[in-house]
Amino acid sequence: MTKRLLNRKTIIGAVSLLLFVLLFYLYIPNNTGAYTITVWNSALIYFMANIGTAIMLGSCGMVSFASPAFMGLGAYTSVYICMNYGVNPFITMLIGMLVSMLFAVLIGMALMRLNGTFFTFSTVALCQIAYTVYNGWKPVTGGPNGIPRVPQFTAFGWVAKTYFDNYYVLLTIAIIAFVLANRLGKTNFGRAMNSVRDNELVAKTTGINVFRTKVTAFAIAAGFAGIAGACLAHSTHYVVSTYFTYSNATMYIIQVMIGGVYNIVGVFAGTILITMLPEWLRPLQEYIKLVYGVGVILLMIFMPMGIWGLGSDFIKRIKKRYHIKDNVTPIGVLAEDQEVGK
Amino acid sequence: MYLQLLIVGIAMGMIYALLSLGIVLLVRAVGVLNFAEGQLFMLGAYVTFCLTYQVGMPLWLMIPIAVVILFLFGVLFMFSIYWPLRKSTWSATIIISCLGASSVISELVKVIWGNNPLVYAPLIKGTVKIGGVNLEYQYLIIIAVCILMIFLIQMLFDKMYVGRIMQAAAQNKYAAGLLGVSATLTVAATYGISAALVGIGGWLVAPLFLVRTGLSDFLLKGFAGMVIGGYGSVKGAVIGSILVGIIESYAVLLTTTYQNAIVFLVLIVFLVIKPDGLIKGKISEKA
Amino acid sequence: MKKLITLLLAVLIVFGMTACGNGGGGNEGGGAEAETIRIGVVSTFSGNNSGHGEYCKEGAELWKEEVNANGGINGKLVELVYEDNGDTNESYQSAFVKMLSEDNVVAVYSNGFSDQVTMVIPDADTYQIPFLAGNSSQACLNQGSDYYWMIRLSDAIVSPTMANACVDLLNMSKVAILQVNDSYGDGMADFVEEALKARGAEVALRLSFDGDVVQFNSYLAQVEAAGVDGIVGIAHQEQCGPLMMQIDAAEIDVPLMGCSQFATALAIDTAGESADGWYSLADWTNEADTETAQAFVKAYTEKWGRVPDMQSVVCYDAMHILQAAIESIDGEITPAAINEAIYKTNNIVGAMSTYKCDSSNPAYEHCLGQSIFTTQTVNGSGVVIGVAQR
Repeated sequence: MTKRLLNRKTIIGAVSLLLFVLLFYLYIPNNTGAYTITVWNSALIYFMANIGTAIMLGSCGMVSFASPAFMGLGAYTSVYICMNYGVNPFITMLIGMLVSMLFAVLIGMALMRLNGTFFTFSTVALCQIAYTVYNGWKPVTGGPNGIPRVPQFTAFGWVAKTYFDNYYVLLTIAIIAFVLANRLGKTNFGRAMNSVRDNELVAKTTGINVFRTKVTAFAIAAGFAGIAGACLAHSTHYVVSTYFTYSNATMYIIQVMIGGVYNIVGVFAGTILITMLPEWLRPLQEYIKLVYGVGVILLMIFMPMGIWGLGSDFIKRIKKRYHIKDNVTPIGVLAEDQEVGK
Repeated sequence: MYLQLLIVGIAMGMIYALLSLGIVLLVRAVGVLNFAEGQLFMLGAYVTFCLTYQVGMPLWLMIPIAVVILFLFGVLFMFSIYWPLRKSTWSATIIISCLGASSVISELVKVIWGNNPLVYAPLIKGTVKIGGVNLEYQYLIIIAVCILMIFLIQMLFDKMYVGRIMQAAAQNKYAAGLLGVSATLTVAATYGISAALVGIGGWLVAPLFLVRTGLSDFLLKGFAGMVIGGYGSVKGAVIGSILVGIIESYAVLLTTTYQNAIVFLVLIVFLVIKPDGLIKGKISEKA
Repeated sequence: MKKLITLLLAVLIVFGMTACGNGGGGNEGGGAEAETIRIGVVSTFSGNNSGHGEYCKEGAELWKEEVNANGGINGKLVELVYEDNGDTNESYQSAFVKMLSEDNVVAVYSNGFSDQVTMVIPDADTYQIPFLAGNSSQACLNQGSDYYWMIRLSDAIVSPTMANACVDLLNMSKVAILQVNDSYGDGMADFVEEALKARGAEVALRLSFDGDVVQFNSYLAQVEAAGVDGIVGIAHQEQCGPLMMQIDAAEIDVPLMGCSQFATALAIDTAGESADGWYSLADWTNEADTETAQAFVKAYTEKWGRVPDMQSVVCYDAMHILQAAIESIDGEITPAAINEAIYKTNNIVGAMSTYKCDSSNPAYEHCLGQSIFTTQTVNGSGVVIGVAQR
């Protein structure tokens, strides 16, 4: 293993990571205006929530519309504790995440008995119920007026006052989330999820508890969503029920699918693309949603594995062309080679 | 008041039934939950509005032409949304492309007919008093048409040869293919019928709720009705939808703030307790 | 290799993004600021509510043309900058922050929904740019911002007037309130309920529905059963039509009072005959009989070929308030100076109302509107039956 540490691949990996970090921490904030940073901020928040959706979809093979519900749970829990007991937002955020996961375990135990389409539709229902509760339960959620002036992120006397400050906070959390999610795929549990996705029956015969795996995946997804929701509340200084609607859920699913569900980098690319698209296509204004809809359909037809899928296809083709043999199959390619679903 | 709420609930349930009938057809044929069905419903309202007021057709001519247009649109929909993805083993791809299609249809409608809601005059003006409720005559028409539709669909699937072919293709594509049944044709026909069916539904509700893009919001209730009634059963879908209407109506007594939550909570409870629904469909879920 | 490709892709996206950011900033122009006065309008030009944006823009453009034809303000021409706020709260905030941070404007007008406005008021404070808004939620005033200005009358001020009209004019004593369950409806219904109780009327029922609900039959069955002698409706423009139609069909024969949305052209047009007989407390009606209002309707109709909506008149009046404020500035025109000048707003006659900053009551100091119309819909148009002063 120690020898491997210095091979070409690791160096490339380390250099690209360093470049990435420099790019995101130094280049972007110094070269964009406050407005672009707000767009980046929401993209980072969506990304965190989308990691959860991607785990459900790419690893476990289940379409879940529930992420706004858990985002709301994380956000309101965090804000409630933060504002009523004066606890630091970073701590309440984690509490929010735990509460989301706890609820997800309870709900998951009921919903995971359903399969396929039924499960998907039950998450739609869940999303509707959650929205109605957030909109109706005024003493806690502020009802339709929401809760304005939510405390900002603070740590050791430093306060995230501007959108740039928030950007650094969100970026750091997103990177942590990214690393965690990436690690997760390489653990036994990650492989268990993949086998559940590919064939439940086979998974069962190899001794995997399918039900427990699914519930755990749902809880993990909820955890990511919870963090994202709390970040949304603390970085926009406001939380309101309209953040957590069903139409947002459809947008998250599209972001995940467009990027490619098998890889977290793909999810990131998809999230950025969909969040930035309206900014790039500003001249089209009136027709933007039309273009967007057509684009989604075309993407699904021509590259159902999303941007990442296209990228890895491209690499495969190049490798074939130049007869490069790859002895270590990267995650993602492995999954695409196999028949998924049935 | 309980009787009144019951009647109102049934009337609304019939509207949801119009939608869930269309959904259930597709579920039977291709096993796909069509997330753009609500937009087809809305499109029906706009197409009939256009034919009636902008082209100026009389009713007897308008309905067949609208049905044909909607049928063709359904076929087009099938070839652009479902067909390229039929081999995909991911249910997610079809769901996403349906979501894309719903956005396309909504936006196209907005580009063509504008943002503001349009008014469609009811066939018969006025109201009728049933059990202490004043109901628009339109509701009676909806109920009548709905019953007619159920009858026609039953006829199609149980009595007519075409229907049996479609059913066979839905149950076993491979075997049906061996018998020389073209899956393409049957699926295209199913999509066409489904689009025409919900489109007519859209026409029926337009006088009550205006011709507007928001009509597509009824979709979720239609889904709920179908799921409660039994996945893939025509009768079940209608019964389930009426149940949804009644639950929604009585929920007002309990709370108006959480009315929506009650409907969906009942749905989840149903799903967990009785996943097969009230009436078991001829094909159960394949996934 | 694979990582490299991904990296390349990501870098491409990032650079594309920053390039776009700079592109957006590019239209600020180097020396343009010195010669023109830039005023921002954040509104919805795409998505479900793009109708609001169109009306708003037409109102603003009409004003700009009038002002620039007269040589501008203090000899400087006016330039309007628009940002589209899209459909979601997040996109609203992005658009708003873009306007404040990159568009180099001295003041901003926006007709966002109440929750959206609530969300961005702290941003206006941060950038210290006066923010005139077309909403009417008391929650926004309660934030106590220095830079937020309400053009219309706040719900808290309108509600007692509405209660008075209900009790005195329509003799209601047992009322049902039908309200939309969002920031606007909920806030207003709270105040109306309170005001009705203060006038001795009983609120027998308060039913709320979501913003996308268009079938009210089950609600109406309950209204009928409760035996009320009056209905107060608070709903969105799109819902008002179906609600009025269904109340008419259910033959509920009691006096009806609606919020300002019930008097909008869209609501009346969609409801048809069913709209007749509704009373409304409206910020605006095209039948308003003041001289300025009639002049506005005439000019607007000539220019755009259609009659104005409330969105256009609120925007138009907001621009007038800004104009007066800017005219009163002696030195350099800065956002802070304009904000100070708005504090001195006194009896500016707009199309909709007269405007005045009344510092005697701190709670309503930032609410500039002074009057509201009581209208009744007769034969498809809102006839003014009274003007209530604040």
